Amino acid sequence: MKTRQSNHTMTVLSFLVALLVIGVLHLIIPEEDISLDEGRSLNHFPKLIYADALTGQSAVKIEKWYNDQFPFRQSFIQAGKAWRSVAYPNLNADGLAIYLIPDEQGVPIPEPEPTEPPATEPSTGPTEPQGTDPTDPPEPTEPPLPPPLDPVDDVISTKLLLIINQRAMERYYGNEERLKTYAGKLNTLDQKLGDGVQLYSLIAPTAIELFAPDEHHSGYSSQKLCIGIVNEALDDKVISVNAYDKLLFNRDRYIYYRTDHHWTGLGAYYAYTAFCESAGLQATALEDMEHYQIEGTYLGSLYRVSKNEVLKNNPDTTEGWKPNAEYTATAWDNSEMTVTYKIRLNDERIKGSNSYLNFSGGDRALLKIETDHTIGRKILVVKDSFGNAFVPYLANHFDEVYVVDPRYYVRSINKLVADNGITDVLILNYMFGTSNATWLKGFDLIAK
Amino acid sequence: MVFSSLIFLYVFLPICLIAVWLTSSIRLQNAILLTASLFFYAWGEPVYIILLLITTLVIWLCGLFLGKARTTAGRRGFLVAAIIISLSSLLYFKYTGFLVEIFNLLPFVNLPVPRISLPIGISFYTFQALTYIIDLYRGEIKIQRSYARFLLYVSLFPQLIAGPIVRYADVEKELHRRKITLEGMSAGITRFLGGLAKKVLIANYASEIVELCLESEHFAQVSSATAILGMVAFAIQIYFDFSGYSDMAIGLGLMFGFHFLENFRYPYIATTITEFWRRWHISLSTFFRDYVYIPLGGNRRFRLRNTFLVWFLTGLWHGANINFVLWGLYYFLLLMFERALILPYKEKIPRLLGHLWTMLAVLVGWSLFYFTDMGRLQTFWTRIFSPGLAGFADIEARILWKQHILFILVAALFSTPLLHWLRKRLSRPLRQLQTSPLGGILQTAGVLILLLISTAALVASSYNPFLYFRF
Repeated sequence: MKTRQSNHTMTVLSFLVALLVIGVLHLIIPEEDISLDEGRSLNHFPKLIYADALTGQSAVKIEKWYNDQFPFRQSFIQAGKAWRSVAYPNLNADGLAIYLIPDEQGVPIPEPEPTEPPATEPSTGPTEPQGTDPTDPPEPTEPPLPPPLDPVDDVISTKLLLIINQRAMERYYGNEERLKTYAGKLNTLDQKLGDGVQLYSLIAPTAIELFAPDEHHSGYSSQKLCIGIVNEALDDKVISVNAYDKLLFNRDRYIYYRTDHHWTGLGAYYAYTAFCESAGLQATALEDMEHYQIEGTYLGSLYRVSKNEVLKNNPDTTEGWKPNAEYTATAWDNSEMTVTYKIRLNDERIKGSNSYLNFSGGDRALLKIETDHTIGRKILVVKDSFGNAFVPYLANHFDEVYVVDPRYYVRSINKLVADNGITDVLILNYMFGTSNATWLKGFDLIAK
Repeated sequence: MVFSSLIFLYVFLPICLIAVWLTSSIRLQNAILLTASLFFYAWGEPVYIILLLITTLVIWLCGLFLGKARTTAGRRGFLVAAIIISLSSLLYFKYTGFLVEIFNLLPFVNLPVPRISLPIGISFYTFQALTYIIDLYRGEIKIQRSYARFLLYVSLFPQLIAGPIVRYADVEKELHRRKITLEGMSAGITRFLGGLAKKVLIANYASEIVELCLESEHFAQVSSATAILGMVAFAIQIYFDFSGYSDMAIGLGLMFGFHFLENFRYPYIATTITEFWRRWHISLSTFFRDYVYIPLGGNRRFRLRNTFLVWFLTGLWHGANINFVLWGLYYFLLLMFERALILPYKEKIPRLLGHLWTMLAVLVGWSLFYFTDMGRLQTFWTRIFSPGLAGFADIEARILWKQHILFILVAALFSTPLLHWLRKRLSRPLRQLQTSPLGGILQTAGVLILLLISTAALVASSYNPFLYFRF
């Protein structure tokens, strides 16, 4: 009986001591400001305001502080992850897994730059504002690196991520109605553009369509079917570019990243050859362009979402081909079109987690490339991020290339076309982009 | 505040435990617990705490007057007043929006729907307070002359915001006299941590599966097998969440010397729906039995009407939405069906068949409970019966099932009395172990490991990576 009592004492005391030790350590251990692993700043003890106290917000903020500054937080998180991988093994031995992509929360801090540009190159941020009219860009100088970009929340619009054979792929589900709506928007734009301007539509399939087993692309998961639905609904005057077959034909080459949702420079090249066929141009052969390889490795967006070890151990690399032309490239970032940057296409200095930004500097409101060609054709590309790896190739042909991202550009593209004598307009989107609310809303605004 | 939060576990709880355990007078203990409980409530509801104080005060006053009344009519008057006042407050705060929406269905009516936020725990504490006044009227308990002690009964933080619905009669004595024993403390701690583990280790993970299957953007296109997995996971989530909460409440009660009745008794092992409801949320079903069904006439008069009313109210109690009403009426129909066609032949039906029937019926019921949006409910059932382009089980469904089947089986095992049964079978060696130092070490180690793992899971849930960068 005595042992029994002392056993209870032991249980009760150790429980209480454990609570107290942790509780007191929380008060003693100095607070931390940021969590590099999570890429966000940690909460500190909030300012207590009367209004917050009445709505219960004070309590919420205090709990955020308490959780963020919990003693040995990182170790507990590691332990929690270790427990998860043991108790809920959601990764099979063959690396097949489905992840839930969590909703974005928290206060972002800029990701630490993994590689610095060489010291001999100019590496400053934006140049001074140099002009307000996009049709009148300033004289070219040696372009510095573009400034870092702000995060946006709509890059990945799906919730399921599939990892097979060291490759992460987003599950796709088409919706007939939305696809037809998308085609309708293009038809409306075509009518506004009139007869003098040729409109093209290019929809890039995503990795899952090309690399996953057949089961992942049957029914409305079939991007071939879904691209077909759009093409069927487009007016006859609009030319649909068949990049799909070219990509499928070359799928044993390195045409899509495995840790990122984009195609590679090579994948974009095959789409470009398809466009050339539709536009009556002779595509420049790969051998005729200068090849470059970016130093180091690249872990892309889908790695960041999943933190999957298999991906981490098999990072991507980035290569590209420089267009055969003398050109100047200028980008406008803000809606007032007052801030301009000189952009260097295919910029080998951009490495590490920013590698995909090398091709044309990432998503800008407007990018204008002026070349030394004089074939009398100018093109406007309205695109999402898949367009970034694509547009440099167009400098092989067109006198001027305008690139607009509807998520950031706010002016009329009809006016842009009319003012600058643009002859060809290409709408380049990836499969998910056809139903991306932010992109479509932006498109409605600028296509008015 | 919720039990499964770090600040409760490492700040609120140790302070309460030490303060109460170091105090020997019941009066002082009650004062500490009352202060702590009001703080606990105000943490999440700084304004509506006034409503809690007023509701309690009104019912307590009615109780006093009821005691003083000389005539039966007078006594009944104060009872009815207490019931009307507390139920109107519940009606106003919980159901106004819903009633207006229903009224708006009439032609030419288009009233603005008021947005009244629901005071936390109002459904629980209103019912608790009612058990006092009704039992007092029936002469089953004595008048509580101290408002503070009555308020402590209603607001006692272990059972304040999510049950169980503790009857006044069950804790009447312990409000005045109770003993905190080492054995009780240690039993309370183990019970509490078991409940915490149920919540953070099983229910929370099940909720992730539910979200994967039923909340994805392409929900309208998932295959049948994915939809089924989602509903199975929800059945696990709601049982472990709710019964885990009840375990934590009972454990906390023990730590402070209170003995609450059991609220769940392995409901998923039932072989009939009737039995399921004797095992699920027992404090609610007995409340409706003793305070609605039997007063209306029970089995003797208007049995069908009484049963209908009880299930209509049970559904409505769970939420101000049409789906909860449908959920309640669904059980009314099932129970009527069972009473007529199954219960008379119960002995002849194989147990396995009974289990299957009950689980199937309960799962169908959870679909009514889960989807508050009728359109999504319809989508769910369309996906089950007409698989569409994704088929019965597309590759996504097969991966999801493969990934989660082990978890589901383990969770299912834990929802049976397996542990209970083992403990009983091993009672002799266990008793010997309990009285040996090794037993103490094992129990302590178990407690600390559960605490550590649950803490790790709680901290990990604050891991909040910023994921998307602009390209």
